[in-house]
Amino acid sequence: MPLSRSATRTLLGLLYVTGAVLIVDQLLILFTSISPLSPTSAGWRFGAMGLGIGRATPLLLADTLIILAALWLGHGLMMRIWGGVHFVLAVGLLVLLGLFALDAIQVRQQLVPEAQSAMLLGAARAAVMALVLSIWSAWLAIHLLRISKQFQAPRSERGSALIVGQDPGEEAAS
Amino acid sequence: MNRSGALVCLGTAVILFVDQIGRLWLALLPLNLGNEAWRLVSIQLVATQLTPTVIALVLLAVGLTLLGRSLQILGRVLVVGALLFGVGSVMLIVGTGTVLSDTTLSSPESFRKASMQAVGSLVVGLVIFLWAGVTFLRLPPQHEPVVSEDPAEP
Repeated sequence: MPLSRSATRTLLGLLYVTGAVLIVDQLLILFTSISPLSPTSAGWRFGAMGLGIGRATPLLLADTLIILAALWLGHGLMMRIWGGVHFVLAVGLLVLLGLFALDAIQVRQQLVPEAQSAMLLGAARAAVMALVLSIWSAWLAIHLLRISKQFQAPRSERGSALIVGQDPGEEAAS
Repeated sequence: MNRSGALVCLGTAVILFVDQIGRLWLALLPLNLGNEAWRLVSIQLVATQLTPTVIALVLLAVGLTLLGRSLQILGRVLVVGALLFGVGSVMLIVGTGTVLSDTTLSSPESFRKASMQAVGSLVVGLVIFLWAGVTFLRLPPQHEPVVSEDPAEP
């Protein structure tokens, strides 16, 4: 038996809740694993970036749930907000990737030669993932902002709401 | 909306695959096929990565199905293949357990815990496989010509 329209919308709305819970949970796990915060240390920045990229899978899934819910529910405002978030994310990831590369060079010099190759492999994986996620975020931002225009509420034409009549004589003169 | 949803599902699936391959590549290197312990640990690692791989496969199938009827067939084949992969993984894990019970490797507690984690992940993955498989196989074909029941309509 097919679900009613309102039941379907309620179920799709649950995707928002699931996505939000997943994101909060993953961010809390990430925060506890990188605390105490020490942004001035290159080693800490390098490790934090690696741990953040390690959380990519559940965060990506949560992101997909939210996007699918917005698309299928036709929430234009949500698409615009989420598109903006992804634009910031794409730029932020690119900036962090540059800093990560510099930190990796610095951290590598502090390691014994035996550990350097393993560290480089890990850094390469994290960098590739950051680049892929940045490109994906940029594409999503553009796509969401473009598609959200279809869901804008129709605006009334500008001008006075009064209907102004025209004198028949004036009409004939013109 | 279906096309956008399909593209989002496909993109997410591809990134998940890239992530899983990267993790496995990082964890399994350097390759040491001659070492029995390395082989057993590798099997466990593959099993623990199974759940995200299953989710990626399901997303891929959903994306392909949303794109059209001909691709829906591909989605079904994909899910059936995924089911076989899941069953094969169970057999691998059972086989590993049997091997471990006869060797000294089964004694460390940490190894036992890792095995339990692998089996847990495998069960979750298998449940998703089964759900996706049954759902996709019961889907009606999409994009078929709509036949009107009203004789007045052409």
